[in-house]
Amino acid sequence: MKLLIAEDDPFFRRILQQLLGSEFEISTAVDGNTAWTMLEQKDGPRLAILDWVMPGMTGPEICRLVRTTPRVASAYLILLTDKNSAADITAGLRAGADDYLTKPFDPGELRARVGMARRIVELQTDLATQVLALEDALQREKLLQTRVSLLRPSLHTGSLVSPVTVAEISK
Amino acid sequence: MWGPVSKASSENTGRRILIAEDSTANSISLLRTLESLGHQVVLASSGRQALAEFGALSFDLIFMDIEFPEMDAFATIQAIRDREQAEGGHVPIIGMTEHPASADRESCLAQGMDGYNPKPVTLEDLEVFLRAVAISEPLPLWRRPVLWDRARALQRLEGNEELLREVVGIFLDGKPKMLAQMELALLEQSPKILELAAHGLKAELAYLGVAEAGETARQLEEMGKKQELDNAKVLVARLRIQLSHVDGIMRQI
Repeated sequence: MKLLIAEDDPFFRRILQQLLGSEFEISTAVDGNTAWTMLEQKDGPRLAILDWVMPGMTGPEICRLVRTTPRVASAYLILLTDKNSAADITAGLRAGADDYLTKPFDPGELRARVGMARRIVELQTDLATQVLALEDALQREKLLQTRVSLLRPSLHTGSLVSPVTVAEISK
Repeated sequence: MWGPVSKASSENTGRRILIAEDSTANSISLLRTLESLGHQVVLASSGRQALAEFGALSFDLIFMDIEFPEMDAFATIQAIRDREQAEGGHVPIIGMTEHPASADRESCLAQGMDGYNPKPVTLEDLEVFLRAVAISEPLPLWRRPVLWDRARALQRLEGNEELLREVVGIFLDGKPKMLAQMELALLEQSPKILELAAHGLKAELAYLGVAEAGETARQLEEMGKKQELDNAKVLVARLRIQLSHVDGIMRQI
């Protein structure tokens, strides 16, 4: 799974990259604007760890932008912060973050939270696939019904349904 | 260990200070100022003499001209630091020069100094350094707190020694830049620059388990946030001294 790490401090970038590198396909951004460009790409990462304070857009600003951009709105965003007062955390979550990690983070907690994020992103992907399949099935059902209704008049008049037409309906 | 910034000035007297400088007029004016503040001052006019004095007495602070004849100032500092490595202790050394270029300042800090000051050293400069010394004074060895909780840092990196060496390297490489940013903030009286630089440093120090210096960085960040830079100069000097102690320990790994 793709994971974006947006962190301007090389110290934390390296730590996160090293701790999570074996589990994810990691891309990194050193400022907020680059992070946003990467997130909004087609096939971009659906999971991101965003530092709070960065040059360019801040973490919460990216969260807000992601949530108001329909194509990428479902991305899972974890804010990285050392502002651990309740008010700051609330502000981060209100901006649209799914979760947060406080520096200095414990590697166990990091793995647990990122693991939970991965499960949610996987569920979302499964769900999206199922929704697509369902939509597809509905579409076919609709088509079928249209065709059946087209046949009805001929049924009422008592004419025989030809084998060719039956085969066509069940396509 | 690190007291409040506003410590009574009476506690800042009676320091033993070594001035290693060749320009006599400058030394004497510095000596007079320091003595009038109640300090004991020893003058050395060459590197060799400075080393001899350092060997004979213990000092609380050393001012050293980095454009030193007879013996290279940096070699003198190295000799002092080598001796400290063997015998323990750490005397803050403040470099002085008549040509205050930023390159000078960085080379001073890279060469094992704790601070830097352009000549002439003013009374205000002296007070900053003396207060930094007073509030940063290491306790006797048996009461000294852990400057760097290496085990904690290692645990945060899941026991990965190689990664620890790597990130300590990143920290040490980035430290002069962050301190330079703080100096810039003081120079330009910019609370925002101070806040950002202190914020970054604080987070790294907390991760590495460097509590004392981390606390100073936190206070500096707070000052930046509140736009109160009055005591920032003393705190930056304190941070430099604290970090130089930590630096010495970290470079041993």
